[in-house]
Amino acid sequence: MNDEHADRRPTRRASSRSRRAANRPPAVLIVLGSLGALIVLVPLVGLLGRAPWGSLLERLGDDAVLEALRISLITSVAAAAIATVVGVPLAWLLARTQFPGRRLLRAVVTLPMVLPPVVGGAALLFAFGRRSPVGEFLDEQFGIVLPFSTTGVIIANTFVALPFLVVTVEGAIAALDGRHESAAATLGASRLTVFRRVVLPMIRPSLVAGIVLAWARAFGEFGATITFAGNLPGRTQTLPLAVFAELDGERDTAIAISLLMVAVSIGVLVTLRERWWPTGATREGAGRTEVDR
Amino acid sequence: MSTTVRGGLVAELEFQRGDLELDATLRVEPGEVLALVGPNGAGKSTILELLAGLTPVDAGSIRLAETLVDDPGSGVFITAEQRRTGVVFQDHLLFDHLSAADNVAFGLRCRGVRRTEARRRASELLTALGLGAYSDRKTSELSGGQAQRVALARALAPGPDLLLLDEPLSALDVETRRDIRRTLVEQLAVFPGPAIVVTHDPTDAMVLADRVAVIEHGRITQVGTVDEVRTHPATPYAASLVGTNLLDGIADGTTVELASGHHLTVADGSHLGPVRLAIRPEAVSLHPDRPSGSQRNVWSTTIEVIEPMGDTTRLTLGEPIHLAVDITAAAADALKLAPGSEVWAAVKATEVSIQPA
Repeated sequence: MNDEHADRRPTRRASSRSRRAANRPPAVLIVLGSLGALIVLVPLVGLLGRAPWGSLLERLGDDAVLEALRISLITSVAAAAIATVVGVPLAWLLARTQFPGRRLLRAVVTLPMVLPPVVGGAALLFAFGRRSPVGEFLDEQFGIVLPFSTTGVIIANTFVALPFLVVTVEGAIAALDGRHESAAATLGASRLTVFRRVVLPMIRPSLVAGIVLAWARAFGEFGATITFAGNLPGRTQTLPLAVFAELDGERDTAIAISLLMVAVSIGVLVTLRERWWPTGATREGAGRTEVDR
Repeated sequence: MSTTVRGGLVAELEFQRGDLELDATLRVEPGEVLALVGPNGAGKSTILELLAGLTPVDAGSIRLAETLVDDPGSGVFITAEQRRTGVVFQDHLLFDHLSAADNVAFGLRCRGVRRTEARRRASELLTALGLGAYSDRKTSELSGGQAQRVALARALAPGPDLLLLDEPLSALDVETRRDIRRTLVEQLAVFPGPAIVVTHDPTDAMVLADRVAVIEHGRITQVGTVDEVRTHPATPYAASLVGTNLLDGIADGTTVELASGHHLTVADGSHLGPVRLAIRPEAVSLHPDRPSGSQRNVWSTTIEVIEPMGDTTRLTLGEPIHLAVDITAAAADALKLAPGSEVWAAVKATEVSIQPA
C-alpha cells in the first residue's frame, strides 16, 4: 500500500492521461470490429435506400404478393406445429432416455442445421419424388404427390426447422434438475404425467423460443423448398421465392417483400431478446433466484 | 392422511455406485421415527433413493407395509410411482409453476382423486400447517420455512406408507428451523407409518426421532435410542455426533436452574422461563483440585463411567449434573481417573448454548 503510494506521487500529472489511454480498446480490434458491423449494415441500408416508399403498400397489396404471403404463413405455421408435436417428444427421448445409437440420432437430427438447404431439398426429392418407392406408394395408394405441392413445401420447411426446436428443447430438458422429476415420481406421477405436468411447464421459456426459432427458419426457407417443391405461384411460391422471382421482373416488388421480411425478422429478435441478450436486471434476478434456492 | 397402519419397513440394502458400497439393514416400526445420521458420502441420500424406489437395490430386499417392494431375487420392483412413499427434500423441490395448493394436490391428482376434492384436501392440509392464507400463492413467492411446510404437506397429502425426510431443516435459518422443527414433531407424532429423517444435526435427531441409526462408509455402525448412542457410542464419529449434552432448566437472566436444583451460568441472558441447554462433551474441563481460572461454572463431582475411544476418552459424570465429557486419553492418564474418582468439573458460560424449550 505504502509502496504504491510512493510510486504514484511523482507521476500523478501524467497518470490521468495514461490511464485513459490504457482503457482505450486496441485500434486493430476497433477497425476489424467496425468492418464486421459494416458487412451487416451496408446491405440493409442499401435495401432501405432503394425502397419504393411511395408505392410500398400498393406493391405489398398486389395479388401475387398476398398469395405468396398466404402460402408462407400456412406452410411455416404448419411446419412449426409439426416440428413441435414430434420434436418435443424427440428432444425428451434424447435428453432423458438411454438407447443404442442415441448420439448418432442426435447428430443426424441436427444435420439440417448445417446442411446446405438445396442438398436437403434434393434428398427429399429422392425420398418422396414420384419415382421413389415412397413417392410411388403414396401416389398409387392415396393419390398424394408431394413434390411441387403445398404439402411438399410444409415437408421441406419441417425438415429444416425441426433441428432448431429439438436442439433448443433438448438443451433445456437436459439442464433441468432431474430431482424435480424424482419428486413427482414419488407423488405417484407416471413418466408421461411428469413430462406433461412438470417438464413441459418448467421448460416453457425454451419451448417458446424453440417454436419461434423453428417458425422463423421455416418462414425464411428457400433452398430446400425450391428444390423439392419448385416455384409455382399460388401453390408453392412463398415470400422468399417471390423475392427471387421478382428480382427478374418487378424489382421494386422484390424490395417491398424483402422489407416485409426484415420487419418480421426484427419481430422475432424482439421476441427472443431476453434469451440472447439478457439485460442486466434479468441476469441479476436469475442469480438471486439461484441463491434463494 | 388416510393411511391405515399396515406394518413397518424392513430393508436389507446392498448397493454399489462409484466409491460407495452400501450394505445396510434398517427396521422401522409403524409410527416410529428413525434418525439416519452420518458423515457426507456415507450413503444417507442413497438409502432414501433406494427406499423411495427411484433406484433398485443390487441385492437384498425392501418390505414396506407388509408388501415386498424391491427384491432382485424374485424380480420384484415396485417403482417410485407405485410405491406410496412421501419424500421431503432438503431444498423442498416444489413445482414453481404451480400454486401452493396445487403442489399439495399434485399427489392426490396422480392417485386419481378428482380435482375439486384434491383442492379441498390440499387447502385443509395447508390450513392445518398454518398456511391457509397462502394456498393460491406461487411457491416462488414463499419464504424458506413456508416452502418447507408446503413440501411436508405435499408429501403427506396422498397418505404415504413411508415418510422420508432428507435434511428437512438444514437449508433454513435458525429461527425458522425452530418453527419447522416444532411442526415436524407434531406431524411425525400423528403420522401412522414408519418415518426416516436424514440429518447431521444431533439436536434434530434427538427432538424428532425415537431411535438413531449411525451410518459410516455405507455400513450401519450403531442403532439405538438417542440415550444409548450418547452414553455408549460405538465409534468416534457416533461419539462426536450425538455426544452433545442436553439439559432442561428454567432461565432467569444469565442463571439457569436445572431440574436437579443445580445452577449454571450462561452468557446469553435474554431468556426467561423453560430452556434447553446444550454442552459439547469437549467443552467440559476436569481438574484434580478446584480450578482458579475464569470459568463461571465450577462444581465437584464423581466419575461414573470411563470409555476409551482411541485418542479420546469419554467419561460420564455423576451427581449433580450427568454429563458426557470427552478428554484426551493422555489427560485421562495424567488425572489417574477411575470410576468413582472425585474431580472438579468446569465449563465456561460461553460454552453453554441456550434455546427456549
